[in-house]
Amino acid sequence: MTENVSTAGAANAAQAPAEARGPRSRWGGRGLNVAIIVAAVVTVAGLVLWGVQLSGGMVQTGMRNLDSWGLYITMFMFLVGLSAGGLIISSVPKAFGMRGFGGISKVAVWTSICCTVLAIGFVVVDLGQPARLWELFAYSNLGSPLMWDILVLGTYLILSCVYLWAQLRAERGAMSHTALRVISVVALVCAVLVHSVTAWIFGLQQSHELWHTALLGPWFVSSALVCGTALVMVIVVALRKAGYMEVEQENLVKLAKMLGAFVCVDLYFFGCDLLTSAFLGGSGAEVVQMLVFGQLAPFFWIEIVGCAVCAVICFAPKLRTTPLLVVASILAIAGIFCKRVQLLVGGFQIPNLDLPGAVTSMTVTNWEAGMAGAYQGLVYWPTPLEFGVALGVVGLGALLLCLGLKFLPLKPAEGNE
Amino acid sequence: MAEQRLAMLIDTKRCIGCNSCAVACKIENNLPNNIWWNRVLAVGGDHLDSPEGEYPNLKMHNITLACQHCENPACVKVCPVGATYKDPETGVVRQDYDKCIGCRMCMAACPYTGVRSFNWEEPQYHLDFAVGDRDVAAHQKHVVEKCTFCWHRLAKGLAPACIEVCSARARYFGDLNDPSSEVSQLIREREYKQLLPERGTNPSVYYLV
Amino acid sequence: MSGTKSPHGGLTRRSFLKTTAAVAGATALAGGTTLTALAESYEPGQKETGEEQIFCGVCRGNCSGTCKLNLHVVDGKIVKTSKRKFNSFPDGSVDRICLRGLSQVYNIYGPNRVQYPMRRVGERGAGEWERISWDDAVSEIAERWQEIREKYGDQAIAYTRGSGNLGTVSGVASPMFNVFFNKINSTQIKIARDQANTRGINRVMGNLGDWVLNDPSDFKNAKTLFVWGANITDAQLHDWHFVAEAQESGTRLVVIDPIMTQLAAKADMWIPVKPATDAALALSMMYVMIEEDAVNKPFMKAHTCAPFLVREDTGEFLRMSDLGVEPKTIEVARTQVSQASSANKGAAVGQSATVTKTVDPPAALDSNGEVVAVDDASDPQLSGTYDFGGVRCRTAFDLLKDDVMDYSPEKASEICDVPAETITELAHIALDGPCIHRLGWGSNSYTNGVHAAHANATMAALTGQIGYSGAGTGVGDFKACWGINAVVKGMTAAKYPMISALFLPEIMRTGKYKGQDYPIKSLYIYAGNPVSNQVNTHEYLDDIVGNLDFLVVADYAFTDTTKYADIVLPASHWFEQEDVVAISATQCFIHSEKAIEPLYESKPDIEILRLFAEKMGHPDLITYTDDEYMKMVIDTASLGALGITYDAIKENEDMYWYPKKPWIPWENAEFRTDSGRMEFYVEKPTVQFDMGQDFDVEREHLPRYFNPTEAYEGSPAWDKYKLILLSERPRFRVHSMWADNAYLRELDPEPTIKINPHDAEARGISDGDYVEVYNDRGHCVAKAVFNNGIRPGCMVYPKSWQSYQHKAGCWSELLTSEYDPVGVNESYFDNLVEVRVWNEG
Repeated sequence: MTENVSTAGAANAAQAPAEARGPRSRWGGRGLNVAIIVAAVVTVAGLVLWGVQLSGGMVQTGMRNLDSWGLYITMFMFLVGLSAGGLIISSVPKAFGMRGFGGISKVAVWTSICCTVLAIGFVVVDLGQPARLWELFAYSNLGSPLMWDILVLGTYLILSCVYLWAQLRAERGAMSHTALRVISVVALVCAVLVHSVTAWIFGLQQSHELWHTALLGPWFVSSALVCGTALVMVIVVALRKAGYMEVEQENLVKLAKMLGAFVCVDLYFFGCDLLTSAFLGGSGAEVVQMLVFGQLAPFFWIEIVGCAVCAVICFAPKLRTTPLLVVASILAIAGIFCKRVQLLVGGFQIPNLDLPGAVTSMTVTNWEAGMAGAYQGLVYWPTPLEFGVALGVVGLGALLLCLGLKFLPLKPAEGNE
Repeated sequence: MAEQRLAMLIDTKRCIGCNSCAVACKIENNLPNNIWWNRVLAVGGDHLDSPEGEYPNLKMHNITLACQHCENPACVKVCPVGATYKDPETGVVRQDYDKCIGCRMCMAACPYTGVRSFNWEEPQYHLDFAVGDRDVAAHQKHVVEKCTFCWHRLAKGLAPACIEVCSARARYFGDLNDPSSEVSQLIREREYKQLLPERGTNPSVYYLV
Repeated sequence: MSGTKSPHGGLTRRSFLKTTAAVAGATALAGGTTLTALAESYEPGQKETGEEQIFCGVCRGNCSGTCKLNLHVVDGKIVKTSKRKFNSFPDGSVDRICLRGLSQVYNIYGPNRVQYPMRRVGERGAGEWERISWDDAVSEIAERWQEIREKYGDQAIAYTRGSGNLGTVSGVASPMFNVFFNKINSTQIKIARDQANTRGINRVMGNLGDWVLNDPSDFKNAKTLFVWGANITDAQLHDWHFVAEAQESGTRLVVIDPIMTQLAAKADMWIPVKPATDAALALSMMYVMIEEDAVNKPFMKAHTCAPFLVREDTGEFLRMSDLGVEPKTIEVARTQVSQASSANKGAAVGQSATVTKTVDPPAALDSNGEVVAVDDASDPQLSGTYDFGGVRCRTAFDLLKDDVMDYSPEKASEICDVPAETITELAHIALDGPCIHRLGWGSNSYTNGVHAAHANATMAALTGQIGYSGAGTGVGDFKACWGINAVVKGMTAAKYPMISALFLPEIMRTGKYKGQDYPIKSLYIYAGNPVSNQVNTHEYLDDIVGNLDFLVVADYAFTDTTKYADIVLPASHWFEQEDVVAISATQCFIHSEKAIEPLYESKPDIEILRLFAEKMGHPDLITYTDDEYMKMVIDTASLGALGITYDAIKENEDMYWYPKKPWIPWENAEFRTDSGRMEFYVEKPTVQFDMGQDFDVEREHLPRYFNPTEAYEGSPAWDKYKLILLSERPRFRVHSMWADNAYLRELDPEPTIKINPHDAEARGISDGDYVEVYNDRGHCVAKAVFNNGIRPGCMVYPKSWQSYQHKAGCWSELLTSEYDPVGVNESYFDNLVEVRVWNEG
């Protein structure tokens, strides 16, 4: 009997029969193999679709000149958050010597690595000229936030792998715990930096009022913590159910409380931002209106309500059952994803210059309605091709995750905390 | 500090929104289908040629919008590979198609809605040969492009194509660092405004009012 | 580039070339040498080349701009156009090009070109063709024309045009069409556009050419420029900068128009007048001028018919012959008149250089009470009565005063919807001269349009503001050159008189003209698209095309008219042939070079005529070269006196054809009426085009307001249709030329109808809905565009979309073919319609 649990960026995990299987570095039965195959197929399909996108042109996406970023960059932001969050969850306990999380640490790091690869993958599929990627290193403009992000992400990816390797060596006693702690601190800092820099891609731009706030850096970090923690919780619960690892319920509760706290901080930041925008009236009020009542309202309210419910579940002892915690985590993840949509689409939803002019099929997604009509509903919506490519990239992440679960020694070591 | 500071002035009292400047740019630069670097925008009602107000208490005018070739360009700061850069001698913000990786960060960073355009598909053309000037860089799929202040014409000592064709004689071009240039004189003599000055980009396009 | 330190703006070759990596060998930047290929890759199919040739061409559609262009040719293809300097105007004031001139490359190389002769194989209008050779085409045409002539008479072959080419070799100014068709005694169908203004002005001032006004460069010398129903900023955008310059130098701009056009938006005063009521406004202004005794009496006494005594019994002037003075007969030189609208140039064949004129002066009351010849009076009285043997005679001015009394500002305000105070203000502004009044085609487009123009001309007679710098009244678009020779070798007189296009449907229905049998069985259409641009499409197709045995159309591109042809002939594009323009807003002859070979199998229209002549048994008819014909046309004595010859034009590219700049018509108040004065009282009204029609003579003596045929509240059609349908000449097309131009279609993709939001909402129409505009004559589907500048009760459509571009119908289906018997003019705006949401497909 298999049980499949899916979350964004997570794998299909399988519950193996009760007996342990194979050597300690291999795990998972038919279920996991099926998952791997499925993920591989999805990945290949995604690659094919990416090829279609490149050859037939990105005109096949929903993006156009006035809404020039879309699903891919939204996913990029989201996955960087998941990735950073995951690593923070993994490294904070180690860094501060907290007990009880050791078991999940390697899985968390591996999840984080997969998410990082996905994030980079989403940037790559969004590029018009991916073959020119090498230019990023030949002609780097070190003043560009995007360049900073590439560098930090790259560093982060390497660091994550080093961290995982360090953990494995520490388990075998080949590395001192102090050294591991140092690495975990560096990893922690890097994770914070990664999402701050990603935030700065938007937060430093004067071009869109919704983006241009100093709060965006800290806010991205808090959001990362929310969805990272939530993701780790989901994966850990799933793996526990599948017999891959043991996790004490009280550790899960600790995670839940942390999640609740992070959600509250995140909502607090949101509240500050909304108030600051709305207070002066004028263009800020327009932004708030768009979020609360306008075209982005569904995403806004899913986030607010979802995160609120999540916090309630996390803090109310009676509600802190495992199933509900999974629900809470999913809500939190969905909420943060909605936040990313709000930020990206919302940025383009309010044009700085909305004066009417001639509009062509390259100008804006809903061009036939003219300038006024294009902004009536959501200015951007992905096409099936974009969903397909995105799914393919996600499939790659799932594939890596499953392969890692199968082949890497990610299980908690005995006696390790 | 650039040796020259090339700037464009558009007299909104004269502009009648005829689109000759938009079409001149289109042909001169052999722009692909559905790509426009220079556009007429209506200031008034919801459509071109429509005023605001209730009949007969109405008003309207036009502006044209293309890359503002800012002194403090947001796009130049963010391009990860330096494909967009500000020419130090003239102040023109240029785009290197060969370098562009198509990340579209510049399009997200530029506050001037729609002045940058991306070739979302293999450039299509209405005719099977290139129109316009022979010295224009070829368009490429999946890179960003925009007004170049007709760089290829500047090299020949000519003003941009849109300046030349304005039937209302409402467009001016020249060096703001030269106090005796026509544009410098007009800036001194006439009232003007700029677009989105609060964004801090310090554009090089001025609208005479 | 102004204000730069070096000729190349400080750009070095090195910095310029930073764009791309590999660079083909570029020549050094020295002395303005053109840089050769810089881009390292070219578009598919384009060869690398170093040579660009530039030819001089004239863009010559009906906008009247006749802009002189550089045609940039690379590898035998025109790759772009740009404006070229006029030698006649060193100040650059007429150097120009517009979005249409700029996008000509598509007109030339686009897929809509007629490539080879085609013969219809399906039903008319089905669009099924077979390709045939030129020889087959011309042979078939000749054969069928011969058959038709034998069976029905020579007059059964008719020919007509639009205004798709202002050239003199192959365009509307060309005598060659008359040479050929007069030879075979065909019937010329006269286009009937823009005639109301012509009639209204010419009957007051005389004929100086169809449409004359002070040169636009003179606008700045006026205190106020009145623009009556002219959309300069869209329809004659080459003239706008003159208006802007005038405003900047202190001229006030008053725009009278029901619609807020871009011009109205720039005006100092916009008068949102009710459609078709301009005459009432002008008459009321005159009321104010007369009542305040502010009219220009010396001018009226010396240069107008104001003091003429008018006999009550005949309505004609009391003349000295009535008083016993023998009229004299003198020979005067035949006055030169330019022709912008169609005429038969064969009419000039055999004309003598002089005409006999009877001099029988009108009589006027002198200050001493005596009745004398008006020019002999020391002080001719503007008011007074004389008893001529029991017949009461009153001065023309008294009659005008009576006439104008009906138009007090309060009364006129009810007609034209301009407040009485505003009318008074406008009158004062008009008195504070000098003022120029530029009339457009707005008021001309209703069946009461003659009187609107007549009223404006009369106002000029009262103010005397005409014929000097800053003062004038008239229509300002085209000027056609005087002094050219209409008669070339081979030209014969037309056997049959011209027939107005407005009358053709009836002739085709009945087979009769002026009571006699007059079968017309074939029509040849060139340089025009009447199915799209003439009124009442269904009538045109049913009555005209439906009754033709044989329709031949020559055009460079497929249109709504070629759609119905039996044979379509590929005519060459302007830049594929050499020609000279002699009708131009610039008042210059301009030479247009042949820049490229005719594409596909197209031929210039004159070539087509040569082929016709040969096959129709007149091989020696059109045997001179194009150059030789042009010399016949242009090398005249009067033009030679200005140094203008065909060779000189070729050498100078452009030559101004008036003796001085700016040209101001009616200088020294020398009018071309019988009396040499402004005859605002029209003694013997005539029709603009005689087809034996009746008209109310009494109504025509003086200007007055009366309702148009349909476009007013309370008209017979008002029961069902409550919206007046106006059109605009959009900047994106010149009539139907450029309708298929893909570059411009990106900016202006589909047919639209501009509607005031209140009218739309009352009919359940939202902005952007597809709507059906309809009346009894037809329908048309377009996208509704809300526009507060549209007067409630009106709608405006940008004209000349082709029927395949509409979801259903087309605009000209809706237009009435009713016409005023005096103006004989297509009344494009005299229509009522309704509109509703269109839900089908």
